Amino acid sequence: MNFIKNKKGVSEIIGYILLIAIVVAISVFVYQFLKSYVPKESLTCPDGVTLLIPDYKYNCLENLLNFTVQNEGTFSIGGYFIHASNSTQEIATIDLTHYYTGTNQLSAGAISLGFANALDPGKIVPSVSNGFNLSIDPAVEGTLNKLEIIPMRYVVYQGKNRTASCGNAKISLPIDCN
Amino acid sequence: MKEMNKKEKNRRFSQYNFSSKNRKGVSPVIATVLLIGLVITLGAVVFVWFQNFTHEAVTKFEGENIELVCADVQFTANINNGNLAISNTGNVPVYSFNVKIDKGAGSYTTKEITEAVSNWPKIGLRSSGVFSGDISSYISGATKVTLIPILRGTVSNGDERSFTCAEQYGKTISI
Repeated sequence: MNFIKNKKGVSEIIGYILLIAIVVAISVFVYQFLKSYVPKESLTCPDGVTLLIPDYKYNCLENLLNFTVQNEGTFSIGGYFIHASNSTQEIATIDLTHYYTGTNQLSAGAISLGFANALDPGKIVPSVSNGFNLSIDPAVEGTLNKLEIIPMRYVVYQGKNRTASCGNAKISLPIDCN
Repeated sequence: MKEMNKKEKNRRFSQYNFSSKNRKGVSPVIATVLLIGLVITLGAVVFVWFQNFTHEAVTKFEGENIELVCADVQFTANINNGNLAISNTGNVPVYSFNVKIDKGAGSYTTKEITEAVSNWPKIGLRSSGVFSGDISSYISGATKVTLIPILRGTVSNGDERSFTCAEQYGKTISI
């Protein structure tokens, strides 16, 4: 029949091009929307990070505190966060870095032992380098009864050097005047 | 008779005029251009329409969706004699908290922590940060208090925006 031979339409090549273009456009749109939902690696501390406070000296009258820190774990440590409590509160909420009189730097709220993980396993930070004078703040009332120390490590995260808090390795130490 | 039928058929055929010489229409080139233009226009309309049904993604830590970051939030909290203490034990800074007070029998209220305590730090609680504040006036009559973290992220144009994590990422304290 003549009308079949003379029937006109878009050529197949154009049809393929249109289809492929539509599919590519949709896939780009879906990728843009979903790419943020791809989980990325979290900033974490390795297991086996442990700190110990083998001894301390707390002068209640002058509100002076010194303690030794020892790396008891299997990974080097870059520093630590230190908090204290002077009440029956379970969580230590006094940030002792505000009263730090030692020789090390403070970094992101932690006492940093250098620009790298400088405290190797078994090494000690002597108490002479770990001094805290709470008498400078009259708002800190009463005597301290607990210390909480959290190790800190420098890790490379997304191409940048960052401080990682090892919250799972937190240790609490009851203290009293001595 | 057969010739008559054949003539009649040809007459009718030419009458309907399926011959390509006389058939009018748009040329294939113009049809292609129109089709492509139509597809692009429809695609743009669908894209804009679809955007209205989805919220803009808030991201944190170099493009990770903030809903996923909620799962990495770690904190401990305690209320002792009306004093709220919070310790951020993870590596995700928490900008604020929603404080949900459960007074029992299905009755509860929710406020942001800045309205419940007076000394919440403006930048929130950084990694390993601690907070202590009096919340006694807000929790009177409460049986349970739930703290739900609020994080701060960025949207595609660089603006900062807050995001409240799901309640499953919060912590409940019994009074």
